[in-house]
Amino acid sequence: CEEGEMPRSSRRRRHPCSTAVGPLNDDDLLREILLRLPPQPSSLPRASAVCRRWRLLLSDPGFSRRFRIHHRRNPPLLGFFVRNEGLPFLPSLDAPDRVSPGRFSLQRGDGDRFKSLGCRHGLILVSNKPKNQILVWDPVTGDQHRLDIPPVVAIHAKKTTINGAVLRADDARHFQVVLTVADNDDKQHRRALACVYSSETGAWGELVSTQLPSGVPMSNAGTFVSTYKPAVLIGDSLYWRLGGNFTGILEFDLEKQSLAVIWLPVHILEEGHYLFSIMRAEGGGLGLLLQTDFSIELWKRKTDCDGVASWGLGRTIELDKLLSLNSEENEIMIQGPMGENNVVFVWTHHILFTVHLESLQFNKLPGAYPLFYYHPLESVYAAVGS
Amino acid sequence: MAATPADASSSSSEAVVGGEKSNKMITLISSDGESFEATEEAAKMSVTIKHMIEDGCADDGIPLPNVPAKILSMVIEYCNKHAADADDTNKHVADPADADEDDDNNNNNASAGEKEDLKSFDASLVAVDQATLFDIILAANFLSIKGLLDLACQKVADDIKDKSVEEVREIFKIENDFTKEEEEAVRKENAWAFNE
Repeated sequence: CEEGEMPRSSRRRRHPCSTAVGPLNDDDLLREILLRLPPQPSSLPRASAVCRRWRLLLSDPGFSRRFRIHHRRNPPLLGFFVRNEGLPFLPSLDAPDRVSPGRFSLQRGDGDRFKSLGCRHGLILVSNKPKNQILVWDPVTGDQHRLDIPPVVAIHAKKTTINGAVLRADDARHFQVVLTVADNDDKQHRRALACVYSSETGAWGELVSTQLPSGVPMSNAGTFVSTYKPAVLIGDSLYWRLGGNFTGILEFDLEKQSLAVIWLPVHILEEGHYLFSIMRAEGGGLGLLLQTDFSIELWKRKTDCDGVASWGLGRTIELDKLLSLNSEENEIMIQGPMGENNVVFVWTHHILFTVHLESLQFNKLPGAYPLFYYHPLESVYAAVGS
Repeated sequence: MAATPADASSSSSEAVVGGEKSNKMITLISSDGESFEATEEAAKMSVTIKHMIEDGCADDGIPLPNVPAKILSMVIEYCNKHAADADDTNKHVADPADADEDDDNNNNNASAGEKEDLKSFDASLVAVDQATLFDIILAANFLSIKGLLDLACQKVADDIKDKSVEEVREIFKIENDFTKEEEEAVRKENAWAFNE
């Protein structure tokens, strides 16, 4: 039965000879109970070891989907994929939820060269340049979807960086992929392009484009969609950084299926601040996180009643004080904010902290972390077998 | 309003015009023959009972052959408490994933204090032995009271979640019907998940 409905026909599936008690005799009611186990990795595997009937029930793909939907608002952080070619996984939870790294490994075939573009809603988007393909991978279920990059995008992908984003639909049955690339063929009319794939239709949509402003008049340098950081989803829009000739923000509105360019606060470029991240601002809307030594500044973009947009500084957070770091000895690297809860990852000398921006609660993750760029995997572990 | 055994000769008054809340009392009869009274508003938290009232079957009291008195009185307590709280508890219920949204755009204007009160009431209602908890689940399912079903199922899930596989089998009297090879294979498949 679907989420939100009462279990039907519960009398039909009783097991009168079973030694088990009450509602556990009834499949529908047993499902209602098991659905409410916490979304930690060990929950379903352990429950599936109780008896054959539980295992059967939990192995059903329909149950997995319900479990994922039920817990969609608070998927646990299972660990990180290191952003290099092998995409090794580093678990970040303690036992028994410490998923073994081998459990989440992506097999490479002949000629594959993977570059991870981002991770969202438990799905990883990978580009495979030699084959002009992208791959959507669900590490928990193991499902993979290989998609050919549409020719209109592929022509430009050969010349510059391609970036993109993957996201699930609310019902967790379908996903979308948005690819973006810059078109610098006409130096007078540089453009940003986007194309959307929907797993529901199984097809790519129409090409969407927008003009790119010219930045510094360096005639040969093109503008590109930066892959230094992954896309950020804020409300119904995706955001990427633009770099090269023009430094700014590219916005794709998923509802309107349109692209737009957003200018950065003027002083960021003037003062040469390139250590910035796009983020969901407190209270919603577009924001920026600017790193200055050991502090972070949170900026927010506002539009006044005349539709004029401007950036304003919100909070400044002194990370060295918050995390009790010795600023003379340590250097820090910041990633994020990411995920549902605007969590910032602060790396310092093999130690990784997660800092929840709103509450300033922080957590030191168990284990040692080499300096890499990471994709955090926040996912509901709705799998029983491997 | 506490549930009290009703006079056997009492019966519900005339049907209510749709949409109005009435203070009409409904009589509910447990499997062991005890009668309980509840307001129509509280009783209608059970979709099963709601349909019977609307079909006009409620006039002489509603027999509930699946629900013993001890459980029925707890169910009525729950309904009384929650009927006063939200108009639309039955329309979109207690999906914990939606909890944050519901708290923000409440149509019941419950204060923070009232919500805390309700939470601790719910917690103590299900702080009972396994057998009683299971009976509550069966009753909530039979009576179609989604909020109570959700509450009781969540309690069982919370009770199981930190237990070892053996403990779960013991508590719920489940027979291990895996062969030795099967069980080994199951545990090996996700060995990292077992630290017993």
